[in-house]
Amino acid sequence: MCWLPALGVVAIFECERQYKKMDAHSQQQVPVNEPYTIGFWGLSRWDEMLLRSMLRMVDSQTRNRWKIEPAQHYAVAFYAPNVVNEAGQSPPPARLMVAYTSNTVAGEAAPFQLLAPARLNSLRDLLDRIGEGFRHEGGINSQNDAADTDGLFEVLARVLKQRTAEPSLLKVGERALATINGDRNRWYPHMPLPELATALLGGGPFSATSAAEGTDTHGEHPIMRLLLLLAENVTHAPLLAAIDTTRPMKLSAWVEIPPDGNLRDLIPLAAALLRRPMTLAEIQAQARIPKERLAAWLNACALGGRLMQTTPVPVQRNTVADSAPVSEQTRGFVARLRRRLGLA
Amino acid sequence: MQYRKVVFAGTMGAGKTTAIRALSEIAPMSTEVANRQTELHGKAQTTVALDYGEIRFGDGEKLCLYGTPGQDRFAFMWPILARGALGVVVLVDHSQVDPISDMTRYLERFAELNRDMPFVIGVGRLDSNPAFGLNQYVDSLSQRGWPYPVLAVDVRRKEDALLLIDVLLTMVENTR
Repeated sequence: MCWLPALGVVAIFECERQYKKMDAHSQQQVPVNEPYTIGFWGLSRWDEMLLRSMLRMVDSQTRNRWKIEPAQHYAVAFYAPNVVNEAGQSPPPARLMVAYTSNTVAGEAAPFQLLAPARLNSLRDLLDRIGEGFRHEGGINSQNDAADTDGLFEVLARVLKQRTAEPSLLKVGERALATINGDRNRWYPHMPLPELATALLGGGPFSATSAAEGTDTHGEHPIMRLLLLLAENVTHAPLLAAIDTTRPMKLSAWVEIPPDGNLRDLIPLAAALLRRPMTLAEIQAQARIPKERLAAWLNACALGGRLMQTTPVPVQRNTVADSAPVSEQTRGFVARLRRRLGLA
Repeated sequence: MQYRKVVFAGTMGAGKTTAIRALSEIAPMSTEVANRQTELHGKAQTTVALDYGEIRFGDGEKLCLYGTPGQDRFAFMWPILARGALGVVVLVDHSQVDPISDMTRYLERFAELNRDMPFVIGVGRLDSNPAFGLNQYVDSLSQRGWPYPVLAVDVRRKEDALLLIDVLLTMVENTR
């Protein structure tokens, strides 16, 4: 049995935007509650926590408030790259499948239905249309109703509601495929891969804007939260080809990890990787999480541009280290303290 | 018998005393007095010299927990407290006017004392200002080339206070 990594997930949320506007008649600020549909796509399952995180960005600019209902619809695009299964067989290349589910009970999605296997080269026209959508001035921007109605997510929301998801969902998978396969140069020629991945995976209403400007204009990086969700959910995660497992790795900056979720165990490891480079073997020895989740997390860090690979420098005699190594006495003290605190 | 210490630093009301109370196995010693700087923080009492708590283990070993006074006029005490410390937990009150500057100020001062000192930043009351989040702390640290962990915490919860210690110890262990 071969495995299929999920490349694109769409979640459709029913929201209500709450804001105040000036009433022309009374010349007073009046509250407005406006129904709103928002779709997100990314590499993993989306949930309310992520959506709230995303909407903070809107909130910081518009002072809107959002009432968010659980996602009503999810869709997943699977792509089978040239991986080899346990029996040594490889699936057909560039095979795309789309699954779709409707969230019938809040918080519990129905099983995914497989809708449509398809081949990449049969969907070129859809790719073009997606490209046009993202070049649209203003992009898909939840602050702009007019742009929204033309946006991909609006289309997806409408189509998903009608349960005829196939064409639009294929767009999502196609877009992911196009990126992975190198077609990024067509739309985002100026962006290096990490930034592109950030912009694309950042998803939501900001994808177009972020991608176009090559940066997250809102000053926040929802990508890491998303990618951590990816790490949480992915069950099979080989390391990215871009990660050389023979070279030590280090984090260049802190990666936000929610302390109250089941990713909490990653926090000490991340702190260690800020402090010194480690080989994959060292990381695995220190990690308190399963290897698959660890690999997914490292992938996420690499995609977010936070994982640096370093070249080991042989230590020469007669050189003095910048900082003194931890003494054995201190190590012993810390080890005993850890045991005392139940942190060993 | 070994004694080591961890320092809790941060502005008035950031939670230093609370964190030490959550962790200490002895009745914490505190030098709280009535707060006369209510324009800085509305709490009724504030620490003027230091807070002190202990975690005891092994054969008479202990980790001493020191809390610095939050007001700048007591900054002369920081080097004394930081000398020989395993690391510093900088607590930040997200509800303050400029919490990133608060964080930066403490990091700068303590890093001057020992540039290899491990730091971990705990941000409290994150919900008080949803317009910006932890990433802005991370970005600010990144811009200065300071690779320190930033965690959203509620130090009234012992598990959050322990998480800060866990991360700090990890950084100590991974010093080269």
